Amino acid sequence: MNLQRGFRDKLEKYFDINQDIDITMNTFGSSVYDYCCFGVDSANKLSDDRYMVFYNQTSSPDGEIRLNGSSGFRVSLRSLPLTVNKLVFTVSIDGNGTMGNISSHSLKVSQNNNSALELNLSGTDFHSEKAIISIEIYRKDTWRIAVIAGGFNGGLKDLLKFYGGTEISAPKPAPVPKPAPRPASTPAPEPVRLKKVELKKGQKVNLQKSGSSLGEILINLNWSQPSKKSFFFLGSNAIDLDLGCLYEMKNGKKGCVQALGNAFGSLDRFPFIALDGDDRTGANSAGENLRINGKMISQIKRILIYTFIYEGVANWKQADGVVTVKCPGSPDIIVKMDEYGSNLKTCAIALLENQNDETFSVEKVVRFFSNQEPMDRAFGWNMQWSVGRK
Amino acid sequence: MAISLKKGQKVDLTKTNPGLSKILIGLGWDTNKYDGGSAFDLDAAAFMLGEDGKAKSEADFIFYGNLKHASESVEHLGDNLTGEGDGDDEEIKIDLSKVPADVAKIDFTVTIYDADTRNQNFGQVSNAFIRIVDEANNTELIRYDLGEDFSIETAVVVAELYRHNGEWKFNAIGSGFSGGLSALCANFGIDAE
Repeated sequence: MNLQRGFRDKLEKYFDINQDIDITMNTFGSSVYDYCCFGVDSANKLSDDRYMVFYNQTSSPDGEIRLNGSSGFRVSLRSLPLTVNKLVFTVSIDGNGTMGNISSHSLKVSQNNNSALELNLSGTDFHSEKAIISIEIYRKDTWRIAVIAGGFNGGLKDLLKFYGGTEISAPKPAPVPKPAPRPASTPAPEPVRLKKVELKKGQKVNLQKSGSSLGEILINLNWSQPSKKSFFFLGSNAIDLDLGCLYEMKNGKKGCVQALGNAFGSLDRFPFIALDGDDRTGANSAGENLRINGKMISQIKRILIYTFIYEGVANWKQADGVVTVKCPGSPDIIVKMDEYGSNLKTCAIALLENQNDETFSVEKVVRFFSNQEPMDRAFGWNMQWSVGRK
Repeated sequence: MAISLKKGQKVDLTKTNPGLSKILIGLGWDTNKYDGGSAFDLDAAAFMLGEDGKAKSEADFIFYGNLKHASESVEHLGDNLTGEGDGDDEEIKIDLSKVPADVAKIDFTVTIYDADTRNQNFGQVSNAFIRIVDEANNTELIRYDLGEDFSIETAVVVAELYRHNGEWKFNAIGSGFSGGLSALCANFGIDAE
């Protein structure tokens, strides 16, 4: 059943409220979307911080509310203490953009993978909100659902204020749960979960063609920042993670595309690979993107995608990087930088190789090097390297 | 001390308040607590109905476009476009002694203006109430708080005053309808566009 704003009904008409219920949210757009579940009291206040479940506190005290992944909540309503009167499911934007800019927001309420209630909204349903309440599940005789789909231009700060949380500007440390590493960050725009292929190390898959020719291939790097550990404080040890690639053409020409040295490339002209922008902080939800002009595949022999830490210590664990390869007609291919042990600052992520001028194969590499030069040697590019700065 | 009613309850009005004639019907509501979105404009109305539950003519439909009945028995005190603040948002004055004999009941409704284009419904309205005040001494006689159980309806029949054995009684109806004011008009036998 499709829900609309303002809808209210008893949950027991759709679910066994004595069993776990799943609430899954997805938001597509060019911002970073954070999901949170507030368990508030009858005065609509967050009187117990432990019932604020989000990426940093993934469970309430007795596991009544659990966050699976980054946007899926599982709730056991009957286990909730009576002091928790309402569960509020929110989306907030970290950084630029508003809910008016999203392409879509969906929320599914399901049980045993049966999605009985679904909310589907787009940017036209919103305006300048930076944080919204998607739905509420509340006690009134029985557990009920209310579709709110409204929020605050001031973002999470206003949302917290609305629920009586501590303001960000408060001088004393806010009562935020203890920091823990953020679970796997999601690339933006966030792809549909079903359509992801996660590569294991050494695994190789071919990109599919849509129609007769290979379209534009987008390689997105996204990573989380130390500051993401807390809604309230900016980390001082921010790192700058860069995306780049080595390319080798059929005619023997070689080079690299990366922000360092301003080698941003070009999509229409040689080398038919372009890097857009340079996200210096990780706050840009879109992260960094490399695009490959698939129409020119016949000129390209191979491409090595890599990331390197330009500033900050080599703390890959904190960076928690994810590289997503998007190609029209192909499922998204995800390469997680899941080997965190290295203190080396350059990581070769994936190797794309021309397959009969029709498509590229994508192989997960994830090998660490001290800089680009030994990586270049390891993969047989053999170019001349010199030190550069942004 | 006002009598507080629950949905579906019926109580005597004139029997328990002998001599009561001039009353004030107050209706109130709270809307959108959130930023963005269109403003809510809720409208109260009164339908003066015969035994058959239909209005004789559109003149018996008292709303923002027809504030006063010819009999001077029912008068809408004016449109409130925002619903801001506490207390009554819109009020309707009734003089029971002047209500024409062929009017068996008066239904009070609240509808959301332009609900479809503004994408609004009663699921977004909270703390709606109706109260009856004795104009002579400004005393609240009856109060009915509707609670928060409406969903995607765009019209609510809040309550009804009806004649019973020569007295007036009050019925806390609290039923929601889709289709807004025009659907209510059709229900009460009035052509509207």
